[in-house]
Amino acid sequence: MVTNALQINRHSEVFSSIKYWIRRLPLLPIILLSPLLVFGIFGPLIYPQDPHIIDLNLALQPPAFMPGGIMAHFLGTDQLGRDLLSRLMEGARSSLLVGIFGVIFSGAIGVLIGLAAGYFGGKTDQVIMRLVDTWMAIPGIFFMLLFVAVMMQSGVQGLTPIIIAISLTMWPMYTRMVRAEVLTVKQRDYVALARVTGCSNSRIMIKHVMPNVMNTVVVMATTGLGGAIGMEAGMSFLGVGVQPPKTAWGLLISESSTYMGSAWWIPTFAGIAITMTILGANLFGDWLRDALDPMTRQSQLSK
Amino acid sequence: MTRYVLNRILLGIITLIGVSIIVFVASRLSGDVARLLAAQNATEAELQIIRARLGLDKPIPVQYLIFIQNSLHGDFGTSISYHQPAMQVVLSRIPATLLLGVTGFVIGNFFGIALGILAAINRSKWVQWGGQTFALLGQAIPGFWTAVMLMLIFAVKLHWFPTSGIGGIQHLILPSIALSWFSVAFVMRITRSSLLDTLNTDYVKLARIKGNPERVVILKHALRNALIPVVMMMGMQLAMLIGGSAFIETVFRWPGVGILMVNSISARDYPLIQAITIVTAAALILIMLLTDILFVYIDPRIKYE
Repeated sequence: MVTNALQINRHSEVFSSIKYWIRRLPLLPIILLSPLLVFGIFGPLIYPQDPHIIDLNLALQPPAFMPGGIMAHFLGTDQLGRDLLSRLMEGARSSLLVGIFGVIFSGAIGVLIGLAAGYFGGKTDQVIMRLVDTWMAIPGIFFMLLFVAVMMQSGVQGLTPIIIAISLTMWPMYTRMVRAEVLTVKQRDYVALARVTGCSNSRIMIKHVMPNVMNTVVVMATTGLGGAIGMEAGMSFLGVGVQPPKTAWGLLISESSTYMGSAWWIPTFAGIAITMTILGANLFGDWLRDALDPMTRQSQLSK
Repeated sequence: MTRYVLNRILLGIITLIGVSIIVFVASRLSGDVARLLAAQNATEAELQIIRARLGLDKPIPVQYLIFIQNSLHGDFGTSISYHQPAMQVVLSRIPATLLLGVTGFVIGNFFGIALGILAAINRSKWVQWGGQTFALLGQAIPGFWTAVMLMLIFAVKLHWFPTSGIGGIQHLILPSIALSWFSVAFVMRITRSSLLDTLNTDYVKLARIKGNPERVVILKHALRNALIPVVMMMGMQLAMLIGGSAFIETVFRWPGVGILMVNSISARDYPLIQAITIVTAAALILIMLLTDILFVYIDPRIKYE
């Protein structure tokens, strides 16, 4: 009887908390990010046309809502008659993959190094911070171009060099932030207590310090997703990112630049796709920061 | 203070050496320039001759020491694609980049601060909404897309401005707007929040009670203090401008350092890559140091040991 009541109680608690979260989910960021997620995940299953089919009879078709446009190519076609909407969807896949893996790798490297710098302090900290400063004294795009060139030379192909280059460029951001947070968390009593009870350094770092900096990391990673996707777009735009015949949003913009006057829709829609994604990630990051912070969460609850 | 500055300069030099090592090794791992220069069917012996001529036949650490020794004498090697001293090639491009960068910086700060003040003092719904949208879009729209769209609308469709190259003021307008787009939003956001904080302080209230007109209160009492965080961020802003110029210069074919940076990497022009990194890194380190020093003068509360 008692257990039953408890279970019911727990059920309703879970249920109400789910309802509570759904009600408070940020609508705008989700709408902005949904094309990226839907097209990125389902990809080829839902392309309206094959993004690689060339049909020169249908070259440079304007979008359907413009005079001369046809419904079959809703957002128009490029100079080879390939369907822009399908190509944008294919681009979403590269962006999503690069964004997610870029964030995971740069976050993992950055967080681990930042934890070590903040926790051990002293010489370790000095050496690491010098490295971070050095890294940040080189313009990011220069670094990425160079790293991609190195990767391609060593025979790495596809999205991997882009992901590695982005990770190697973005990690110092996490390191700085995590280090600063660890410096304050380290002073707390529970860390001292853990040490007294005989925990090893690595155990204290992983079990006691890291959970307390994770909120910041999650927020940074969300915004970092937009950052990584923006970087990928920039690299593809400069011709060192995704390589044809594959396509990416940045590549669509640079490919169309030679006949941009007769196909305004290609750079326009590709750019809108990039902007929507970065904006969505930034807004989602803002929402997450408020949602994870107990202080602002309280004030949101009372709203 | 002197001690602090000397210490910072020393750290800056260490950073610069670190930068040169990373770039030196990475550029040599990025591809064999001999293969790019040689004929398609060159034999290994012919490639060796080219490598020996460029000094690339020695182990990388030895190459690096030679590079350091020469660069201390002001010799950064000869650019492989321009057949001129690498540093000379970079320095010849600096005026163009500086022209674009300074214009972008001025536009960014002028409009950023003006819009920030407007968003802080005008509490009407439309201004607030517009300001917030603008700030969010400024952060989200990539600079190269702004550049492409400005070019498409104002140069290709309307023919108001030339599409590319350097020349009179009409060549400068589109690239500098594209370059400063991010800065405007960034500066606006900082100015707004900082001015809002300042308007709540006691000395601003006192200035109001004394019967000063609102314009004097805001411009003379509040804004001066509110701009401290804006100045603090100027170093970061310049760093972003340097990174952004690579894209803007590429789109508008602006003959500056940014486009040179992109081209030098695709040409595997090692001496040029090194010279560019040394110049940009040194500029960034110097900018950061100068803003930190400037800070002591504009905010007496700050003291460096």
